[in-house]
Amino acid sequence: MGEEYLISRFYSAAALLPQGLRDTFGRLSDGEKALAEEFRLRAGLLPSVLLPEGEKRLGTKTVSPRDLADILEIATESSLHSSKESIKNGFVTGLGGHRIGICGTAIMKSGEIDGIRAISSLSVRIAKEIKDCGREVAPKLIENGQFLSAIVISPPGGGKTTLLRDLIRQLSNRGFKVALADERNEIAAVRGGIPQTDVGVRTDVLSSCPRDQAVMLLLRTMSPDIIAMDEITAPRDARALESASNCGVGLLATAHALDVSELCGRGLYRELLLQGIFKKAVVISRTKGARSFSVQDLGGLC
Amino acid sequence: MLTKIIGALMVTAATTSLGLMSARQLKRRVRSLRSLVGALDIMRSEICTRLTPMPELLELLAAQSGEPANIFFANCLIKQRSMRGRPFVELWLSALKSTQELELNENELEPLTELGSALGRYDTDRQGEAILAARKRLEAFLQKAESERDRESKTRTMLGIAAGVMITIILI
Repeated sequence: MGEEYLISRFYSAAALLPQGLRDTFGRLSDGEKALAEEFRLRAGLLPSVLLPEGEKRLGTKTVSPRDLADILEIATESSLHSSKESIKNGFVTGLGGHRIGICGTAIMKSGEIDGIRAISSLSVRIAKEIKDCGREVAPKLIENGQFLSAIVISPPGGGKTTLLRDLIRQLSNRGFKVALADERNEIAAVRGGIPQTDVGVRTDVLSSCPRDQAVMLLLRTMSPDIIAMDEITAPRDARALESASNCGVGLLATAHALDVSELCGRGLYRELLLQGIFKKAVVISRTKGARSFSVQDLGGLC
Repeated sequence: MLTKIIGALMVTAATTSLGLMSARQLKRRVRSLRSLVGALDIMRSEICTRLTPMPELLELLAAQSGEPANIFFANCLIKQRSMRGRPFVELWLSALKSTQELELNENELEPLTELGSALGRYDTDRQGEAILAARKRLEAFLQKAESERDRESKTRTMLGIAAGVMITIILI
């Protein structure tokens, strides 16, 4: 993947920042811009960029609460009201598919988060489309022309979404009808109905819909060969996957875990693995900033 | 004598058209305020009920509002595209400044100026309240402008004609 492309993604994410912060991050070297993974912005502290070796603080001017509010306004195109549901879940997705994680004071209503006020920090994750990163993985998920349901695992920030996006593209271009439940709209980054990333020629995208509802809707309406989704996090996601699996659809999803044994140790995933819903695990590991992928059979591992 | 008649007619025509223009300006102010009140109704319903994103909302208002509010929202849309990355209030104020067709005075523009700082940054309730407050003030200006139009429209036209006749008599 060319440095030019990575720098263009850096600038695409920086466009979500107010001018002052954009200038601060713009003073990084081209090499650092290409390697940058996230912008970390905390009220009252210096802005920092997350590089493979860790966070690097920048400039001399601290981030103000006004800066944070401006970022959300820019990222939502002055439509904070339209992003209420995703803000409840602690994020918004800006133009270009860059996900912005939000921290602040939760507004609680009837025991549930209804929003976040007094924003204290934001993390802007720079979305990168790394084409062909899943080229060697995709064939290992197909046996006798059939897709074997798989779960992609890594710790947070490990590159699950990037790999998932490319696997979707690879499988779609190999003839599978893929239905993508893109709740955060960061895989396909659909804008005006058109995906801004390449998710393949046979991929149907349902964005900004809760994953569990999206899975059932896609199953009923799009007759997919594979349903793909990012990050199984709630029991209702797991239940939707169980239902889909019983309908003979292949599943491709991601989860936070260091390895398969850690995945098996967590109740939500253990159930799915014990039921044999996923046949393969794609484990992402990272050594000195370089990522590698291994495909493991899940039979009998839990 | 003929020259005098032609001169008198020209003077009367000029003052009459001044009177008519003044009366028309009253009508345009009413039309402008009415179109803005209608647009704010659409805006409130779209934001509070359908959670319509701002670019889509501006497009809708540019297409569906009455004139000249539609021109104002079309200008907002253009500025949102050209001023990407700037806070919404800046483009809103810039569009207000550049939409001469609104023909409103400073007092009448004030509710819209204040509304700009509430749009896009807050939840639906707070935006809905701000829109209602602006609408209420514009509605009051509209009623005032309507009664002014009813009261003064004919007077201004007649004054124009009378002024022309008076000048002609004085000059002759």
